[in-house]
Amino acid sequence: MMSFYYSYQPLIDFFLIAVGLGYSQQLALRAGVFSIATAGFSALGAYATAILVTRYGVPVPAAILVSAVVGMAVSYVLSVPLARLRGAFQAIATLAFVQVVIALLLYFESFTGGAIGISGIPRVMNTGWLLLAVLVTIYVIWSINRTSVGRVFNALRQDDSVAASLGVPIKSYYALAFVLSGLIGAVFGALRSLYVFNIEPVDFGFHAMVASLTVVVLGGRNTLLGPIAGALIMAILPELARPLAENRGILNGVILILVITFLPNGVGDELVYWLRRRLRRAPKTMSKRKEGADVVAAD
Amino acid sequence: MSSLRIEDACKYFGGLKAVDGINMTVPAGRITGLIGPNGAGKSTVVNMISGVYSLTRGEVYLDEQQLTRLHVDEVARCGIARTFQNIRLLPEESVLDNVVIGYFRKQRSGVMSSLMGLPAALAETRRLREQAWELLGRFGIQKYADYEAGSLPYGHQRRVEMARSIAAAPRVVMLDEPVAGMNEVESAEMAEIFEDLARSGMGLLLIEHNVAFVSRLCSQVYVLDSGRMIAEGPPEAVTRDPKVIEAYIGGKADAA
Repeated sequence: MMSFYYSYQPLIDFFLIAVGLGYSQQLALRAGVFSIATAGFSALGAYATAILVTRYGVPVPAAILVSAVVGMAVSYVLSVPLARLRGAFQAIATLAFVQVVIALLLYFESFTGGAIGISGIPRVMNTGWLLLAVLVTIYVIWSINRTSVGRVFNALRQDDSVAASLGVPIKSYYALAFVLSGLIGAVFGALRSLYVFNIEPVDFGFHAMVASLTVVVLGGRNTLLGPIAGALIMAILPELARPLAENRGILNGVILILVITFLPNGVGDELVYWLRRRLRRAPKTMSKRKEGADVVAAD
Repeated sequence: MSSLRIEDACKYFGGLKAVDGINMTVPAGRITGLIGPNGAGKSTVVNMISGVYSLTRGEVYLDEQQLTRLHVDEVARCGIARTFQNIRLLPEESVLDNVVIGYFRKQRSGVMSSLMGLPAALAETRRLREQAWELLGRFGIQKYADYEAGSLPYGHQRRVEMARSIAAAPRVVMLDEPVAGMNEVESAEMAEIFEDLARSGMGLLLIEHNVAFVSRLCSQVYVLDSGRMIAEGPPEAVTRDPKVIEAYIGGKADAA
């Protein structure tokens, strides 16, 4: 067990970061906000923490807290114009947001280090802390799932005018989902910067955006298991694809196409739905058939 | 006794006068009917009251409170509920969860206690699920509680939607074609529920095609045709009104 951990430790750590960013991405999609801004939030969180720690000697916990606040503040501001958009237009707007963040990181060279980025960030993160962060995130989302906020998020995704007709202030709840997404994205960006020694804008560009989106598409949009399953596939796949060397991208693409075609809800969600059906419905199949017969008889 | 009133309400879509200067009252504890042929503007009236459409002219009041310029969610929080003509459930949620979301207005646990999973928020969810379960029983669809709402037959989906709309005990509920597609037995079941609700003090507005059904239940009936109110009064009087017969049958009133 321990030898497994030591030989795969970096893989496990990056898996945990990917799970965190996956939850940031999932939370927005699950509430019907078609956001792909997670990479931008993680960039803001990573740079805020890196700059505070390396330049100003701010203690790490305080720096992470600042990153969290930055993530929430920026996502809240962004949620205002986003509330006027729907679907693909939200995706385009958040894509633009990520590009603007990258452009600003490149432009303010004296502050952000430009294309070279920031190096010499102390590596204070380890598997334990990352696991703790993931567990806290899971707890919050699990709580959401079992209470009012989760019901509202599900309603927003499926039909927001129904939600409004039941008294839900839908703009506030869209903003809440987006702010939570920004918070989680920024915190995991900060944790990542405290793990990798140096960060540069390229780490948070298009590739990062696709990566966190892929975690959710592969894993699932609605269940707690989704991002874990998605991140697991994304972590294991490159290892399995080692013999393919340069052609790994092809395998990624093929897997993505297969999952979207045959398990459109994502591997994790499909698994959870299947288990639920088995657990809940199994004893009821009999009565279901009987009811069907009743209807025919009544007709 | 609270009542919903609309006064001189108009809704124009460009040059089209969808609803043109109507007055209507939906008193508490009564069942009021709104009938009229296809395209008369009945659903437009529901959308005007619930805040989906802004009024071109006129006012909507609940007692003394003006609802005219409120948003959809604010109108709902004042205690006005509705169903939709083309049933709108949350298709991926279970039947039970579709009703639980209907209690939103009555919930007391806040967002933070939800995010932190505090016992109060969890207990509230449990309580609402129990209430929703009982409500499903009242509508005769308890056995479908675990089914995905989208998988239910049409008539049952209507029942789910009605259960959801009255879950939070609104002061007025507007039911848009509640018994469409139901047979005699089923609509009699619904009629019984509506009468119970009225007895409990709720004001009901039935938007219907089925004149017989409306006549049986309503104390007051309004007849809308081409956006104008052509008749109002007790059902016996309204159904004999030549203007109403003309609107429905399409013949000339003087020829009849």
